[in-house]
Amino acid sequence: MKDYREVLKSFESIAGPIKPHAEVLRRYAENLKEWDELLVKVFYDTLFSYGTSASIFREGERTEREVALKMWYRRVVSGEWDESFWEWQFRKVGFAHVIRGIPNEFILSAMSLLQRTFLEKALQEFPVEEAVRVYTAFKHITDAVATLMAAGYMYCYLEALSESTGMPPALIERHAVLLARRIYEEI
Amino acid sequence: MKALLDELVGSLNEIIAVVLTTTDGFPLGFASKIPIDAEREAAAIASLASLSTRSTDLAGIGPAEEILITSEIGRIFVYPIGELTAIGIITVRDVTTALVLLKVRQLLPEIEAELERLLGDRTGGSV
Ligand code: HEM
Repeated sequence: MKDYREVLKSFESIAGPIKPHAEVLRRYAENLKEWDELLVKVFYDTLFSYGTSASIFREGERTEREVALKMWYRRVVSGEWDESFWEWQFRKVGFAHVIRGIPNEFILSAMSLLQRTFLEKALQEFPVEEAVRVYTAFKHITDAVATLMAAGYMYCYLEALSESTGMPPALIERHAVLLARRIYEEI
Repeated sequence: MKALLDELVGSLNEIIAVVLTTTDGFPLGFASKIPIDAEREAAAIASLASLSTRSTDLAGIGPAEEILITSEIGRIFVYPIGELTAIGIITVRDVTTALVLLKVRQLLPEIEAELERLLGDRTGGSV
């Protein structure tokens, strides 16, 4: 399995370093933690109102999910992101969703919803300039988490295919290139 | 390489096509009496070679030497050549299996020599 540090390194090289955003969030953390109720409600109201995502949840699971997401959110806005934080995002948060068969498009869409809800709240609570600063920090860190989750999902499928069939990763890549080329040339 | 593969295809009426591929699925050459998509066939043959090796490994019966697939009107024989390449031979259904292996074995030393020239001496092993 690809090391999550490599994925993070690519993220930081392209999207920019993470550390300065941690400092911003740390300054506002106590305030931001209070938004957990609102964010989690919008998040799960939405996921439960769309049939395809709603069908993923087991009966009576919502409370447990809300507790987990609140905890996750509070840790994210704390700005305290050590090695164990990233390990948790990649191995636990990311792979918990692979285990439940939740595709990348759901995760990325849900993250987009979370970010927009955060922005709306920030604009209500802070002067515009401050809201933009806090939102930029939140967006950066949650983009990094989404990148880790999406990469973990893809590498898990690739490794599972490679492990079960004995096909080397380069051969799987070759199949993907041939398929992509056909799709590309179709239109 | 093309001449060798042409020779293999021409050596038996029942052989329709031959595709030589790396284990990564890149075609190293092909010869065919009918139009085939050699790029995709090469990737499929490489996959068959991987899959059979994985299955024989798991079963603890040593590396795969020959894979035979029989379809409604034809057959595909796959022979891994060392760790880096495999050859796929597409025939009509009614073919003597031993004869195909014999033809491959007859040409193998020359194919291996050619592969060595192409890939260096990492091809090792024989059908
Ligand atoms: C912004 C994207 C998301 C975040 C940050 C997030 C966060 C989390 C967290 C922190 C956990 C607990 C993981 C653990 O430590 O075991 C979790 C579990 C779970 N999430 Fe999400 N989630 C996201 C998107 C989604 C989506 C889109 C769905 C479904 C449509 C979903 C369904 C679930 C389910 C079913 C579990 C329970 C997994 C288990 O069986 O343990 N999540 N999520």
